[in-house]
Amino acid sequence: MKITKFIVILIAVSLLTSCAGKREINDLAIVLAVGIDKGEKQKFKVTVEVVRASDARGQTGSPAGNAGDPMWIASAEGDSIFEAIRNISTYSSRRVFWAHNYVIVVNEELAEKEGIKDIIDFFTRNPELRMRTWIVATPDKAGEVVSTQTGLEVIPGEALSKLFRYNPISAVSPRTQIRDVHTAYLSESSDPIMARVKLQERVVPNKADGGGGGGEKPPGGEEKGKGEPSIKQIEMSGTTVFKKDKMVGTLSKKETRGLLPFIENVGTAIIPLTCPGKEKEKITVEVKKNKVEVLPFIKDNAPFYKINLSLTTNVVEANCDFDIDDRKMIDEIERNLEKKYKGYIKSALEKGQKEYKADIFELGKTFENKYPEKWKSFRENWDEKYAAAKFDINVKAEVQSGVLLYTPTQPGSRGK
Amino acid sequence: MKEKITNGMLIALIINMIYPKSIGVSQGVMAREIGSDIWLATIFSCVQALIIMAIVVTIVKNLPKEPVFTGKLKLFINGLKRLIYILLFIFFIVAFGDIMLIFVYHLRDYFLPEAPVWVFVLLGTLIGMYAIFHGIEVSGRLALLGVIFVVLFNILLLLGSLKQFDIRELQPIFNSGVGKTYWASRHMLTDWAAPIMVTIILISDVNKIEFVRKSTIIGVLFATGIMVIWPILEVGVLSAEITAQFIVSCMQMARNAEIGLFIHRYEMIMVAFFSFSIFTQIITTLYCASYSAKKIFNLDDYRKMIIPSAIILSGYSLWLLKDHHHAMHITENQRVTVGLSLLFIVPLLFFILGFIYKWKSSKTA
Amino acid sequence: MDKEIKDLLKQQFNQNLTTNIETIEKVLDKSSDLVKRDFVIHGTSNLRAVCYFTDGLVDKLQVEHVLESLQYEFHKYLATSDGYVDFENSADSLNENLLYNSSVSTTKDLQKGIDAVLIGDALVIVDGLSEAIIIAARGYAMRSIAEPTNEQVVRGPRDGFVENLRTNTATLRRRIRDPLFRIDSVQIGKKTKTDVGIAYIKGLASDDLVEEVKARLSNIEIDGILESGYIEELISDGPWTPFPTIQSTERPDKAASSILEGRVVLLIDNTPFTLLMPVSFWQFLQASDDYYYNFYIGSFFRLIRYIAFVVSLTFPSIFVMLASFHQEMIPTPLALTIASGREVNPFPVLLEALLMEISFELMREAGLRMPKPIGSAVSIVGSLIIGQAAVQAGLISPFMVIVVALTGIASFAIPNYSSSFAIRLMRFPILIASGTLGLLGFTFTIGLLLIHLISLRSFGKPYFEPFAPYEPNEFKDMFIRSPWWSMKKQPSHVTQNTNRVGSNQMPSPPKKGEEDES
Repeated sequence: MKITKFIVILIAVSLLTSCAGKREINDLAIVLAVGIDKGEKQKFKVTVEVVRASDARGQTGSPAGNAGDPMWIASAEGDSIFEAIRNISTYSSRRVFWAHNYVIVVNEELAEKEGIKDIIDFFTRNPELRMRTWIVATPDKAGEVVSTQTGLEVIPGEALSKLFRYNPISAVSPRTQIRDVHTAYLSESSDPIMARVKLQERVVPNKADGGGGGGEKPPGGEEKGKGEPSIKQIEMSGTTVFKKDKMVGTLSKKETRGLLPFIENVGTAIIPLTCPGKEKEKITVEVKKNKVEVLPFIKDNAPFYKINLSLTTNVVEANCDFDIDDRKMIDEIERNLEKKYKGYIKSALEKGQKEYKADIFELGKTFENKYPEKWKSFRENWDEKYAAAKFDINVKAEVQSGVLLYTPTQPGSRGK
Repeated sequence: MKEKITNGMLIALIINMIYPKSIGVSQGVMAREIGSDIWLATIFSCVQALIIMAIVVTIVKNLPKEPVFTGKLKLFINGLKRLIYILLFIFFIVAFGDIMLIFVYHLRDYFLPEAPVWVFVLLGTLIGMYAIFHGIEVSGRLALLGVIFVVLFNILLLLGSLKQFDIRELQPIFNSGVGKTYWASRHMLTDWAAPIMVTIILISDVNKIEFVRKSTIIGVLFATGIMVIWPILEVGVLSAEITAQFIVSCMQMARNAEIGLFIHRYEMIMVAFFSFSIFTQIITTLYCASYSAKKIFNLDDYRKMIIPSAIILSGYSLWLLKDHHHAMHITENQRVTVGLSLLFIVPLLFFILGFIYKWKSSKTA
Repeated sequence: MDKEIKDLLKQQFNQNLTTNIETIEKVLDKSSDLVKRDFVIHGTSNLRAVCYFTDGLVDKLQVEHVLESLQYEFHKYLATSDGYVDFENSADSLNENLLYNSSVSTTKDLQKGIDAVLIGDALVIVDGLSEAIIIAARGYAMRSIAEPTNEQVVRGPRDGFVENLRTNTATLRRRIRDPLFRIDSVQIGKKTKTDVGIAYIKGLASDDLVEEVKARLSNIEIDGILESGYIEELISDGPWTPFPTIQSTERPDKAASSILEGRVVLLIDNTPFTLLMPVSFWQFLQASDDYYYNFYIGSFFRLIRYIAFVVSLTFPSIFVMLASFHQEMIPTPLALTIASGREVNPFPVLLEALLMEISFELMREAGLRMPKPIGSAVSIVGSLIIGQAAVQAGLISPFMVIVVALTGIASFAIPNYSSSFAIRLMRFPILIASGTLGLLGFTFTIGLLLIHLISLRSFGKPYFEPFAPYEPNEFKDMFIRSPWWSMKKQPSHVTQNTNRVGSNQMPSPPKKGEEDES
């Protein structure tokens, strides 16, 4: 039993001497969103949105919630991100805790000039951080985006996170996580992209202040928006494109629609089309499924891609007489849709390939998979080869159903 | 009463001895050399391990009965036997360092970055000492639980990361050439040395020695099965570049896994399962080291050597783990040299020993 | 004095009655409950006899009945016609011809005679006889058979063991009528002389096991056995372990099922708790109504109990570990809720958990020790203080109350009381380790616990079977309770692996063809 005693003593010693790394959950400043801007004096300005748990959660039996702000915004500058964060901790009473960070917002100006290398490095090196944090770019001040409250969520970070979670419905921005950006950045062929959000002033029709959607405030339309109260809301608007770690440009919402099939499976996208034969009336289809096939070939010592996209759609709204039985009409809708989608893809490719020269479509990877040998000679000057690549885009659309309705919605007519 | 372990326990021990090291750190090391072909290198090493295992088991199992030696020959034979066990002891020191590296880098770096290393090494060694005090059978039984936990670990990981799997990352195969891939498999083969050496030590304690070769082969195949999932997932989910970037790639995998929106991180559950596999490894290695020490000093009970062996083994681990660069540098270079050369020398010495026994028996008969 | 009595006890009965009386009175002195009845056997030349018994332990009617026959009819068999007494075979002839009582024995040893008096038999000594007659006339007041309060079932027999060994053996015998069902008997305790019955089915329980049990029992040297707990601790395999390596039960159906599975059951006089051995750890999570319900229901409740086991062992530790070390592992919405509850909390999580756990145990213990009418007051006050006031005062976070309450409830769901105690006890080291070293402390203590459990044995059977070592056959009755028609095999420790259940026992409607024939 000597050994047992020995072991007991050793265990006791090691347990008693080391409480290292202990931190209580209520001693943490839980960060839910972080914004990174270009600093005024130093390289970075980091704005963290710290949740004040007792106020965010309302009363839980403990006499805490003194109906204050659910969040606390702190910002500091530094020559590195870590330094900036350390500077925050000089005036934060609690330890800044990153593990619950929902979203990283990067200012585009910073991304364009300084690049995002430091950001990627910092946010993947730290064991506290999760790999599924959303990362977005914004033309506005990141700090402002991070601290903008929306109508439904108490905490802005949560709102941003939910915006992405339910993004497939609108399909206007890619769902980029730090992991994806990290992978694309490390990859020898692909280039990273980020979702782009911006602050949009929105008029609130009936309210002096407080959240709510409301119409988009016309930028120049002073007379219409005059006097009406408006609040800034975050909204998604397309994609930010990077070349290596520097931002090179953006894709609009429509171009993003052309990009999305390449990188992820878009669930639902709503496409309004003109009714066949009736220019003024609209028919709206919802893309239920899409399948993209990228087939690389070599033509004239340059890559050539055949892109086959097949779409499965439903008609969700019809202003004109739409009859699912009407083959001819359906055909026409399908042609329309194909044309439209082809345009999206074309414009996305145009911008990505010609204007930004960034391989955001994972085309290099596709090529490497098919021609590993050829790739070895291409990889050195892939940028040129990629710029010289030709595309053949085929879109095949299919309208499957009119959801619940079989015959068109039209006024009852007598004596037909 | 001589303690016996069942053949099932031997299989479980083999799986536990290879699994924790090979899924993370070794994959990272190999990915730094060959990128996306690490799963092929894993399979290469498993095939080699299978062959070596079969040969070694055959040699050790069929070692003839020791005939009576006299005079100088006796001294020589005793010296040779002692040499074998000294080499084995050295091997287990190195292997223990590997295990502690896994243990510390999983638990410390990802969960308790502020805790000192010595606490981890101390507690790990303590648990090993406590367990082997009860005999090797305890380790065998824990190994069975370890296998169950490891399988659960795999299932949890698959649940959480299969959604992000991208087969395109795996292609093209043999991107860096067959030869280079094969060469990279040496890292894994060094990991495989541990279960092979353990088998050498434990072979005489196995219940049904006639099925031992079959058992070890089943063990190796089973281990290959649950192990090879990892490099495939690591490349498919993380991409080869990220696998190469991290020290412990499998933790990166675990961090990525999520089940639904609510359980966005559950690597702690997985590591809790995983740590039992590591404990089994610690126990088994400590046992084998004290068994070798017992043989070196011709003692009757290995329990007397537990504390000295534990001190030496944990001392080496502390030295190894003094910083990340030091640890990884040794793991990538010196360890491979030492491990692999011992993997070939020890069976060779056993073969020579058997040869001399046979020669002597035939001469006296 | 003591030595003198010891020497006296080694004596044999004397032919002279007066000597015998003197000796017995020297040994037993003037105990107030000792009754001595002198009488003369009629029809002989003043042949004297004496009857000793302990008042309160005997059935007086039976004794009187015996005395009657001895006084009036003894001479017919004892005395020859000339009035002399033939002492040659008198004791035997008494036995064979006279005594109506169903259990009579003779003894020459003084020790045995005195033991018999103290146990509740009547001792009759006749002048001139070198043997004394022991007449079983035990009849003392005892508790009637009632439902065991500690192990209740919804469906199942309502009888429980009582303090009387004979009644208990009878309850068992009524369940198992196998001719090979044996109840061997030993006496343990120098002073208490407690009867212990060793019940098993010969051939089913391995001989080694029975021998081992008997050997361990015979090694016991103790002055008294007042409860089966004494024996349990003296013959257990793991003297240092908090976990029970011997199961105790009050339920005859549980004991009987153990016997049918080839285990040995120890029935101890004066306690309703019988001991079952060997056991595996998982048996403590099995209740007897698992087997009486439909197997889906039985399996479901068994799974619930496994969850209860895990929860009661680890839940507070996991919470403490998460809240004080690994906050990143808590899903964000939950983390915010926990953090908001702890906002004004003055204690560190570990201290809070320890405080709550200890006050919970305090309440449990107080509720148990209090006189029954006050017991409910404790729970009301306790729940008010801890549940309401402490939270409202901001002393304790509401989440901790939930954790501790859930843990407490889970520990009550474990059917075996002693193992639920062990689990409760082990909770504290795990809690402290998790609170000081986080995940490392947690895995370390769980690892130690697991290794400890794995290394335990219960009468040669590994404690953690069928998990480790792995016994695939026994999994049918581990996490789930398979239907009876599928559990054909005996557990692995049984000697002859005869099938318990016949083949083709799965009920099915008769086939068409057969129906027509009949």
